[in-house]
Amino acid sequence: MNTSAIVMLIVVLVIFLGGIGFCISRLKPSISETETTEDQSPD
Amino acid sequence: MSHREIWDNRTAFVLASIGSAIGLGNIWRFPYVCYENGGGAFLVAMLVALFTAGIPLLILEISLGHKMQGSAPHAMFKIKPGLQWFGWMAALVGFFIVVYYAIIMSYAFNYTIASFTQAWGDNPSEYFYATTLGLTDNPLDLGQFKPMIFLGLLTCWIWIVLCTWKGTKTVGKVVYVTVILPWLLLIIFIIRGVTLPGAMEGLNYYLTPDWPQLLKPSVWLAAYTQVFFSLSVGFGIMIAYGSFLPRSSDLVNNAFIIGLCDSLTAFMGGLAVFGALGFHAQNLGVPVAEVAAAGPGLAFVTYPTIISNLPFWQPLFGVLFFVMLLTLGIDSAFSMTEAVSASVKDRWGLKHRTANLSVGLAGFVLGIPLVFGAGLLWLDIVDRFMNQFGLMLVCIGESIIVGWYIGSGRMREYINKFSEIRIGKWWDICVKFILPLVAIVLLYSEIKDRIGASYEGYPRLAEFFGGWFLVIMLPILGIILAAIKVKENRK
Repeated sequence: MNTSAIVMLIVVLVIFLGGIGFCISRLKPSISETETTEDQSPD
Repeated sequence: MSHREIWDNRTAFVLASIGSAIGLGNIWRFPYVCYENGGGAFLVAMLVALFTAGIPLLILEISLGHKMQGSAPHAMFKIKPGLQWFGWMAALVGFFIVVYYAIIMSYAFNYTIASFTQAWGDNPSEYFYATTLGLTDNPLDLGQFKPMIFLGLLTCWIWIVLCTWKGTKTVGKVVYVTVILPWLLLIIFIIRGVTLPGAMEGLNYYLTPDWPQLLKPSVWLAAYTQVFFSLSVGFGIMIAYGSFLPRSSDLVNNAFIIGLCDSLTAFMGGLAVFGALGFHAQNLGVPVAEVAAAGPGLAFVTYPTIISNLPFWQPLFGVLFFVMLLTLGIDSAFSMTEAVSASVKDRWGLKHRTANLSVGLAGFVLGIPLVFGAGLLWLDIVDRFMNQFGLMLVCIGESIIVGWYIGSGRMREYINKFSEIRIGKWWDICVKFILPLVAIVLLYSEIKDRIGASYEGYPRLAEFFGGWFLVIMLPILGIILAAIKVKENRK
């Protein structure tokens, strides 16, 4: 594999995996297992 | 008081949405488009398209469903009753797509069985086009009825209906298998692909950036087209899935995770495909450019050839490859079905199973003409027109409705109330300007091409019935469905 292909492979993987990692690090438990829509008032 | 079904948990929603976005195109479309448009340089264009169009549109659709608590027609009705037809149009684009998508899954089903004995023998091309499909030269020559494709179609539709049997309850469980299994299989095929002799040459073709290509507008259009096709936007799926989220759910972070996972899968798919193509080219003693392929030709002709030439465990790799295609396709298929079922259920207050069975039966019956010899040709025409016209029209409509009619600023405020990552004014710019502009340019370019010459040289009559007629019918059917009276107690 040539150098530019290797660089591209690494850069793209870092962007995708870094992006997914960043999103996962911001996760908060927001969907309750027991929550229903009955008490949801319309916006 | 309505009891709208909701996802069991956040993982179920995210996996279902990722599963919907990841499909056959990630394996057989993206790698070839990337290679054709500058290799590694195309990835830069694709990332720009992802962040300026793909993810903003995902955020738009998920939050629209979440805000309106309804499928596409219901959500549009809530915005303005006169817009309900447009919501139906989005759901119908997905419905027409799932009709032929199930046929491709039927091919994969047949090939899973054929892999045990490598039934394609020394001539995979003849086995696919002549034996399996009985392909005719002309779409107007319908050809022979193929019982095995019919059987595969029936099996796939039963599978689709069962996967959505209890709506989000079933989907939320099924996706743990149908999303994670193809990922695991893809990893196996990457390892297998890149360790084959000649693989590195294939990867060079895939990844080496040809930077001057970025100066060509066609490369940017290809990048935006790829992102629009890949993310399952424009079919009402994400609106329906977003509507099953409880009120307190995050919107933006989920959209980013879905968009990034989909693109990562496509990128990884390219490693598996081009590794194997490098091996294939070395076997034939030709450059990789001569064996690079896309679409059904790649999956059902080139890949079986590669599998037959593997040094060991050919039947196992054959079965695993087609199981991977089936599992990649199934969640896209049932998400499109679910989007239509949810629309029918929301509109006419039917029970989920009734709506599900009705949509499944309609999809199966409409797919029967594609079981004949000319099926692949008709499928190709419908695919082109639904994606290039149907999807683009829906994207333009959605960006105008949310960006200009509701107001992107107002929508952004709503989204930020629920999101772990806040979006700024960049989202307004994407939704109000970039999205409609890009979709209009793509639509204009396609209209110009189709006026110049029929798609793939098909007869104009076939192009009319498989393409233009269906596109014209989208808004007409939408208006008819919106006009059907609803019983008073179900309004």
